[in-house]
Amino acid sequence: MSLDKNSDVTDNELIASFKKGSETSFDTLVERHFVKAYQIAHGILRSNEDAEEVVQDSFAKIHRVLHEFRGDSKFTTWMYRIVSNYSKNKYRWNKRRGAKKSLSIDAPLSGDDTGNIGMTLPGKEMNPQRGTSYNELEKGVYKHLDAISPLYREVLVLRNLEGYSYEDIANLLDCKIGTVKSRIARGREELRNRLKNENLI
Amino acid sequence: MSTNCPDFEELSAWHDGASSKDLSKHIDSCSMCQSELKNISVIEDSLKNVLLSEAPSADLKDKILKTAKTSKAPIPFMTHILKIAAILITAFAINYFTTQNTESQTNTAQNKTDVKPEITQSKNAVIRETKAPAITPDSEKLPSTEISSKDFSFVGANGETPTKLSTITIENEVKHVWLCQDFAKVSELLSSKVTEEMLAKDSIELKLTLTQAELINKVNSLNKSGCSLVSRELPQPNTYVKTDTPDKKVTYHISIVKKK
Repeated sequence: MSLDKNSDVTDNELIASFKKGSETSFDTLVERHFVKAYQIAHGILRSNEDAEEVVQDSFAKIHRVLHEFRGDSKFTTWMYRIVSNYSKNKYRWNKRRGAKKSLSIDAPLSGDDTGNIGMTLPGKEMNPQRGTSYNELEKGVYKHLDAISPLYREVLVLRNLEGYSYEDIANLLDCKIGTVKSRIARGREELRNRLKNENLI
Repeated sequence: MSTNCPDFEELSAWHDGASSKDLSKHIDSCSMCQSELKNISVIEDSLKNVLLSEAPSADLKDKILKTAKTSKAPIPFMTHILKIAAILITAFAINYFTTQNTESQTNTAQNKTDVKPEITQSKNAVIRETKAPAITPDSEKLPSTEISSKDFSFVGANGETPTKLSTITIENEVKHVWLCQDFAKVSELLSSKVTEEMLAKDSIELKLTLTQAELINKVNSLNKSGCSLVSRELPQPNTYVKTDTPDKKVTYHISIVKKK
């Protein structure tokens, strides 16, 4: 039986315990972090199904290689890197398969930033339950988040969900701080322009 | 925004405390920048709410645990590399032997009493033979292991590399010259006894009396085992489709030269 996810046991202690053979420690790690992992994947992919698939694959990978985790970085940083990479792979896979044809992710995924701006897609159907809890601005953000480049979504998600600094994000994505700064700004600018066009701000 | 205003990227970084510039004085006095910063804050708050409101399905955790604990380790990266290398080597080998066979097939089977210099128009090159190999009816000596393209001069339209050597056909006795690495394997394929002494040599000669159909099998077996037929006369590997005299037995002198 896994520990309470809110127990005082740290991630590193759980990992140490897992390395000694405790599978329940892994269960606790999953319980503690899978929702955030899902939110990150969903933020990038904008699809429940894809996000769940990515999170499953990510934790499968984590389970396989957790014995090699040295603790040089926080577990969550390492985990988010895996989730982020799987999400991008999934996005590219979808793109090759023809899904979401109208989105543009031709820009490189790391290094210099020439991020293409995604083309506008018809607004996705919002979960009615969720839709009622959103105000008008949030509905607009939800809709237009789909339309911006996943490169921008990725940094915005990491910034907003985890409150990572630019430096943290750069380390996590293995790119320059300037790239992070630029992508965050472009993502915000895109959203701002679209929201302004609809008089939401 | 005025010309004195920082660009949006700088303002965005300032909002996050990540700007290297001190914009406070300008922002205090610039209503447009204040408005932009307010927009950024509003968008960020909404974005955070939207992102945090996403919830996975109720059974995701169970799916994760099930997947994680039943997934197998992927094939190590090096295994992929080795597989690719094996495929490339195989493809190269097939290409190499196919090229040899194709060029060999440009010659027709003709009985000759002697080796004559000849000109062969191959697919890619005109091959001029300027020196006969060491095999003649009078000299049953094998071509030495030195037999190589150096014995010939080749005129290719584009400087193509030659590959073929020569052979001799003496009436009903056909001489084949093969380049092989493993004599023991060859003798096994040809159902011929090879002594230890013969194995130690650089070249061996075998004399086989076979029907053409039997020969085809032998030739193809040798070819598949990695031996190279360097004689140009038929039969070449995979070239016999039918024979006019299937039951006629012919004596074949098989000369096998060890590859170095």
